[in-house]
Amino acid sequence: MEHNLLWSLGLATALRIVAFGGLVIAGFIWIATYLTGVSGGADYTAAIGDVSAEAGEAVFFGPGQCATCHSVGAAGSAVRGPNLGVLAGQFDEPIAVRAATRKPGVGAIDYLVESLYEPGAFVTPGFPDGVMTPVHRPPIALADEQIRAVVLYLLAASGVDAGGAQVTAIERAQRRYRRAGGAVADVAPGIRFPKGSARAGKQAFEHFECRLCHVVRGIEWSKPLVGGIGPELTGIGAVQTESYLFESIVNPNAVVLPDPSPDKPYSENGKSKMPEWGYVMTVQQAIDIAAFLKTLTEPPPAEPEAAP
Amino acid sequence: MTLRRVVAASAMFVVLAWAATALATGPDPADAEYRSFLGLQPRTVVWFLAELHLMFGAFVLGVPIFAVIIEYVGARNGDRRFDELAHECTRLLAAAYATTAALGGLMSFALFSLYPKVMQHLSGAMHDSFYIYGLCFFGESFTLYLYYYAWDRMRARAPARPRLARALRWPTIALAAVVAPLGTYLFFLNGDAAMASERGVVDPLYPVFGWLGAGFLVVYGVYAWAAGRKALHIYLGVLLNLWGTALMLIANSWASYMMSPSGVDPETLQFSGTTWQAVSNPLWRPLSAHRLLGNLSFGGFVVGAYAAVRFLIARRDSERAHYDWMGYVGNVVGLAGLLLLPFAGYYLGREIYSVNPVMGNDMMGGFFSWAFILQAVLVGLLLIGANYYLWAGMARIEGAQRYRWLIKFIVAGLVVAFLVWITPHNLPLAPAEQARYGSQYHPVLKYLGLMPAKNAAVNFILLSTFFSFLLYRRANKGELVAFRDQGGRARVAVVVALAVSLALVGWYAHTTFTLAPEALSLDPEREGVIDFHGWMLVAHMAVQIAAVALVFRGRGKLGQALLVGSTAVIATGVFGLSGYVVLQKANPFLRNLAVGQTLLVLACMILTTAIDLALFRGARQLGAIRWGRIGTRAQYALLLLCIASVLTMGLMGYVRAGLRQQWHIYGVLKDTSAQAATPLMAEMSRVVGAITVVFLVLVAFVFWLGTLSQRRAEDGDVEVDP
Repeated sequence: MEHNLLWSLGLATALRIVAFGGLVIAGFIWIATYLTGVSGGADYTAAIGDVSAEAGEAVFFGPGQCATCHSVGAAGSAVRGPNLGVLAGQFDEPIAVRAATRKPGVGAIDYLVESLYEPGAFVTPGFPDGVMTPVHRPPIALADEQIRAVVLYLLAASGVDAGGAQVTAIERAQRRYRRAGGAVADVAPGIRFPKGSARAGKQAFEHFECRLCHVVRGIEWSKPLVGGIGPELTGIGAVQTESYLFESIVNPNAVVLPDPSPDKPYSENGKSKMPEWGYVMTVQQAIDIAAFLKTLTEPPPAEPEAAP
Repeated sequence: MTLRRVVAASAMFVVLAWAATALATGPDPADAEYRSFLGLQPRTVVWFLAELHLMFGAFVLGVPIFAVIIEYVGARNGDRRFDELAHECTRLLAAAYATTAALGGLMSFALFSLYPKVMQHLSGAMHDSFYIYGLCFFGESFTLYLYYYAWDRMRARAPARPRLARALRWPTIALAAVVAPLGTYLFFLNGDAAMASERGVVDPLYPVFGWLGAGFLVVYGVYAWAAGRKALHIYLGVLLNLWGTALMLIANSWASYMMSPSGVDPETLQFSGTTWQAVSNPLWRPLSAHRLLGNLSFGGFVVGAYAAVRFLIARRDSERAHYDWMGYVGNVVGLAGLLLLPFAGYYLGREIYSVNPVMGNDMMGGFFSWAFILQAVLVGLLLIGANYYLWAGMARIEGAQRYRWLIKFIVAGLVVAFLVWITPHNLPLAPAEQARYGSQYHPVLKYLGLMPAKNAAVNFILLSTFFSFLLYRRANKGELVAFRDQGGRARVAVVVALAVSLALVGWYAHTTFTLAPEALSLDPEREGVIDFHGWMLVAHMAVQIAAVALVFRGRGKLGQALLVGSTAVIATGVFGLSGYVVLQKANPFLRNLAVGQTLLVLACMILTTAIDLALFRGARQLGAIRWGRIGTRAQYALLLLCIASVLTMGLMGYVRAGLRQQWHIYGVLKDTSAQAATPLMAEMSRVVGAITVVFLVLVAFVFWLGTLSQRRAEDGDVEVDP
């Protein structure tokens, strides 16, 4: 009888201990769940694959980790980096409008793309340098498509059109960064080239039959264009410097663009298919061709949509 | 057929059907990057096993630290109850050890089979350390079982070779006095130099340390053999801790490598270094320091909970007295580790920022910032629970009534500081609220959410808890023995503590004064802001000297009050307010300011404790400590401390591993599995909650196994000085 009583007492204590422990753990789960709701913790598992403003927003607040430092107007609460929307008293205009006037001669899209790949290129006054990391590099390591989507989101959040033309422009601005594993360094820093002649460059372009590999639309040519072996150069002047273009002529392997598709490779065994023209043309001719290419600033016309 | 059999048969059928379905999906290819097991998500499987292993490991590594100290105290004062307590702790240890090992094996199998590509990389970088780990494991196992099973045979305290023991006593102490600081220097302060070298033997002090360390172990071993069986047994306890620390350091290097890999070619992202380079990665040292203290605290709280349960089901007063005392010791140990943990945590967090600002921002200002609100809730529970236990414990002490009126003020201070601490920095306002306030933040709460307020609050909580402990210690102490009559040892202890605290604060004051604003990318005119804090540190040093002077003049209590009060004013009041100025004018200096605050509190604790020990030595007792005369609520406070400690460990494990985000090995090996996304806190809480339940059930079962052969405690009240 006594044993049973003691056993009952022990059982009651054990039940109380279990209930107490359960209560503490349940409280922990409740608080964590509540905080998840308060913090607006987005579900990072959402598929972020396409190139659109919506996908860009998901990347911005998700794997891009942009929201750790940047708010966009009232969205987000970070203050470490500049607000990318409108913030009374600090930023009167959204980022796309500010970006267009940040650097003379550099458009909003080019600026935004540069800021993502090379954050140190221009640092907003009042904010520390060296904090932001290039988003295409580890640890954030966004894919080019994700970066494109983020720029589209920032354009859309600024009330700027974020359609197909902008996608093309962003893609073009990204070209200079699409180099395996590294940022684009200034080509031959310190060397000052003599001013080239765009007219002589166009003649040289035709003379050396560059048309056989590269398409340049929007210009009248004496012979039909063929292209397809190398990248299209329409609009190249808007995104590349003359020194980069000169380097590409005399040292095509300095930057080899990724192949557009497996059946149309730009390279063989990691080497560019383009010959090193320094053995063939004069220095002046290479400078002239670079000057000519630099004048090609019109973006390629939009592709007509296929009939349904 | 009874209902029970029907339920059992149904459950078995469900389990078999699930297993058959899962297995029917077919095996994963041999060269798969990821695999699954019985349809379970691989990350969850590894998360579960790793966390359970870590919890058992923390207990197994933490308990020997204080078990051997308790045994040593018992051997010194001749009180057999200390020896029994240490023995009982070790009994729990022996029972938990096999479970730890089994969980470790299971976790390794899971890692190698579910994440073969990750383990291929880790094996490539760390393979040498695997063998050393295995050897250390042998050492740990043999030493532990020898330590436990030889306990009764090695109780005798009579020296075997008295003359040899006397001759080796001071050489042993001298070697320990050289080896311990040298090892600390080489491990913590010489880290960068070690990493810079391929083999790590940059500093000629490394081989010196190796020889001196080996010499210490040999000399100490011979001394222990000569000094009697108990001394030799304590030596085994020290060895057990050394093996355990080695195991912990090696395992920590694997975890920290995944966060801050070193020896990796930045272009190819392939490991091209040596094992030592991989081991000696930037976060290895801070993580190890944090885990060492965490293990100590965790072990103390688990032992406290064990004692609480035994107290609650005890049938005799003698049992209640014993387990009351054991719970008290567990709480003191847990609290001691807990009070030091924020310093190690700050060190770890600071290094994470230094290693990678993205990771640091994610931690404190990004995705994981809310996890720290939850951590603040848990640590707040721990500290308030520990304080409550101390106050409840004063009921068993005659004479404690004198201090009860102070408790309500401590409670008020703790609650206010706790509320400041959990105020989120990035508490989002609704658009309507933002429009009303014209700001992204609440006009008042925005100040409380910033780091200066949080640093002040945390340091205030630490000081308050320390203050509670001081009250508890003097609860039944009456008239003091005059300090001049305390003997030379007390005077030396106070002076040494003063030297240590002066060195700590003085070193940082010097660092502050010599810190050029340009080094922090600040304008030279900001030097005044920096220097102000240097002068405040100097002021605290003056207070330390004044406090000790008062002690020597027989006004020790006043000296303590001056020291604790001044520390509260400077570390939380002055630095709390000046933090806002720093935030605005010299933001990069904020990290240095926080270091200064923590050092002030640490120095205050060291010096005040030394003064307290010297001051109350031999004081007249106003009454007895009636062990066992404590309410059951206090036992639930001990249970709360244990559960909150387990949950905190689970939470911080999630943060530490989650900081890698979508990387297995940060910046080197990307997680391309279906579970690459970082789980939300809600999901984390469910997994950690389940792990906590499993751990507590397992640990209860293991402890029950361990107590099967326990002999009944002797009758009679326990009388032990707190």
